[in-house]
Amino acid sequence: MSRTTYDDLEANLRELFRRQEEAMSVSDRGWDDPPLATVTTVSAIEPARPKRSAVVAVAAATLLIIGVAAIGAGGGRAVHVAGPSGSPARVHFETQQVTFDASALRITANGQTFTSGGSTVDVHSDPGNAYYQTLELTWREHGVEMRVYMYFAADAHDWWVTSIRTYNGRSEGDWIGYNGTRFRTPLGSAFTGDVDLASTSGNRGRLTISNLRLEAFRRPPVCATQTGAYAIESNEGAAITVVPAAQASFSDTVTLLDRAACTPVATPGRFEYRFTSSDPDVVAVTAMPCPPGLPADYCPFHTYFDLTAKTPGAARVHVVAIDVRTAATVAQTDVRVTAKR
Amino acid sequence: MAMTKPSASGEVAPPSDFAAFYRDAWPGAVRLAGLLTQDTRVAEDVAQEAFTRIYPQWSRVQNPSAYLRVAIVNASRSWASRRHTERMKLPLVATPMSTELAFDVLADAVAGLPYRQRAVLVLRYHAGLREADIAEALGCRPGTVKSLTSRALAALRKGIEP
Repeated sequence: MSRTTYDDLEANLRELFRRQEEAMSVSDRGWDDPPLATVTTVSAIEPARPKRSAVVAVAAATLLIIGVAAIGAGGGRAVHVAGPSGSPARVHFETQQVTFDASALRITANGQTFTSGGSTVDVHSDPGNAYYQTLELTWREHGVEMRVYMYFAADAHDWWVTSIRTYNGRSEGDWIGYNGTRFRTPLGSAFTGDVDLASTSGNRGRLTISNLRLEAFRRPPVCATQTGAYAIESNEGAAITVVPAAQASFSDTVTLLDRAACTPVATPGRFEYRFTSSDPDVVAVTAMPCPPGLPADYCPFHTYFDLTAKTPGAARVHVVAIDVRTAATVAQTDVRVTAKR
Repeated sequence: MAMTKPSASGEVAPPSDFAAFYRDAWPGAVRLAGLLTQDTRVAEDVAQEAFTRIYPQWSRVQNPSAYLRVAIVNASRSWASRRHTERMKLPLVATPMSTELAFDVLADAVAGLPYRQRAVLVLRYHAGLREADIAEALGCRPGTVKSLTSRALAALRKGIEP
């Protein structure tokens, strides 16, 4: 394993896990056998990313979020790019977090040029959090898989790219890195310009992008589509598909935004939310307390609610934000929820 | 929380199919928990906790294996989040292969990964799950599985190559 391709690494991982598994001695056991000694407390599940699924204890009942595939904020779109393979082609990729528009995208690797022309590009973003997002483009061209992954960071004022990677144009699909911080741009604005990068790690490669218009950490469109002083953003998007597998339950959060600045309200404790489903027989909605283990500044700006798919169908979850001092409704929105079998 | 089955007081006997499921699934559950936590000392407890989660839901569970897998992943994550002071690594079956040392280095690197990155590798390369199933087990989207896998493999490669 002195030089490890990803194929080698994957094979070695399989072998490693097999050998570790073999090294574990597991005794047969039945449900009626004497209880195991208590070694640890496993009381609640910490979502690794705050907006994702969580489990909390509610009135001594454990709600286990499980078996749910949800299609929401992260993208997951397939975009067909016109034009012949290898020829410059205009591209426009968009997720809820990132827009990428260019008159031409070229990756030169393994003696070939990849443009995504004539290909269908799988477009994803890891929605991340306020400080981390990605744009992940994957397609097949010249008979191999090509990927362009961009990693973004942000602070209170700007966003920027921390790393770009592409595949190497070979069948084994190893990464080429174009490391370095670049494109620092104020939040709410797009970087525009031409890009010409030589690889810094992995095989030799070159990435050129013409007339790039790139924006990450996009401002939520609800600031434009809702009216009044405030807007409610569903952090999983305005349309959610819940696919129950075992017990169907899916967590979403809402954030109240000051529409003028399109930023979370400064005093979230002033507001509370009410959630109602247009058809509880299809999708039930429950307000959720803050799950344990989250950063202290997360829950004040992200109010949890839980969706439970009952039967296949569609429903609207109506979300109302109320100023607790005046009892006045300050914003409202609908989240479309589709429950699939 | 005691990691036992529900209290005997007032408890009805478990349905026979649950007992059978438990018996059949127990070894694999322990091994999955061991690989996820990298700690053989807690693997059985984590697996038992997962079964304890299923037990009260049993009559409504449509896909017990998927339910169990998610419960193990979540219980392992809880365990991993509480274990800040020590770094564990599972032992390897000793073989005369010349690559023993290299595998040991890889085991070190896997044990050093953040939990979610290790989990996607275990679920993919040990459990053989599809991306959608991994996303389901981790409670995230397939795109997140892609990026977690990419970062995990990149970190491993960086960790094992001179």
